[in-house]
Amino acid sequence: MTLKNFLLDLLLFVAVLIAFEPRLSGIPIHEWLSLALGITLLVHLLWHWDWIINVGKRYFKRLFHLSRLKFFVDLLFLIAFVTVMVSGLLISRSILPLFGIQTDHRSIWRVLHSLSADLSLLFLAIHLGLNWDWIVCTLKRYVWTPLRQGLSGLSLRMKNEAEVCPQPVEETHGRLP
Amino acid sequence: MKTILRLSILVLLIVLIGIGIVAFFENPTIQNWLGLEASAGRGGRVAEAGSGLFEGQGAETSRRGGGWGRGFGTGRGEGAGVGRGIGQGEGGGAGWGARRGEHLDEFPSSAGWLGLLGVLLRLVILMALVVALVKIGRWIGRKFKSNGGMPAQDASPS
Repeated sequence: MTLKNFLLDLLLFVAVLIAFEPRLSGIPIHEWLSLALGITLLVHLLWHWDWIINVGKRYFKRLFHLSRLKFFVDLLFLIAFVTVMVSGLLISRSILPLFGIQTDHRSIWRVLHSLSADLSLLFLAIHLGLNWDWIVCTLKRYVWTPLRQGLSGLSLRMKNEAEVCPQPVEETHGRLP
Repeated sequence: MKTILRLSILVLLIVLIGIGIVAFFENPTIQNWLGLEASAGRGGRVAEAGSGLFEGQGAETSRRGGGWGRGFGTGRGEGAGVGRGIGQGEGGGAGWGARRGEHLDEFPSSAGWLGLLGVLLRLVILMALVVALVKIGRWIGRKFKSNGGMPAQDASPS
């Protein structure tokens, strides 16, 4: 599961970077990629369902804990991301017009699109920063170590997945610290 | 079945947030309050930079408020545009706005690569800041925890 998570997160990260810079990809790719990103985000959320539910249930029991901060940041990130998607769809020049739907080109949605994109980037940075230990650990396991040991190291390590980079306790139905 | 149910809940949640956002920002009171739509009554409104992306939209007439306004904008550099708008209404008034213009006639452009670098830089700087803050927080937490919730110098040697 960790490897699947890692690959999906890597895919999401690259897609976010490209989607954040429409001058790099052009508007049609920017819009379709962002839509695909939204769908992939759903999968990401589904895979972390247990964590969301467990932290959500116990949110107010002990407020000052990293999991709560992560939950709060993730919630803000979700709202900002949905704002980007909604405002992006409303000013869409490729997706909605393709289906014969006229889009709204008032400045408010363009301003909102730009603002919420900047906010999303901020929340993404916080999200990544808060999960930095997991990122470093997983990068070491799946990128750095196999590079050092050769490709055979990857299959060997996949078998011993639970030994390194354990999932947060909230995802293993454990009690919160 | 469980996955479908979870997916439905997530989609429903996202749709609800989306509807909430549209309803919130479509509210004229909120728009005026945030100053996003127009300087109602004064005729000024935010104008967009006229760039390759938003061609033809650099000049707009305000639809709200008592007066009328015109905005104009110019794209400058590679994709970066600065827009300015001026409005005139009954009783006068002026509005101005600035936004980034995206020039998308040619891609991937050098501005696109530079933009990507900028996004990466912003991410790295913010991430580094968050990681440093978390580490400091953990260090403080450990220091307090090991002394029964008191800083080391205040802990009594019982």
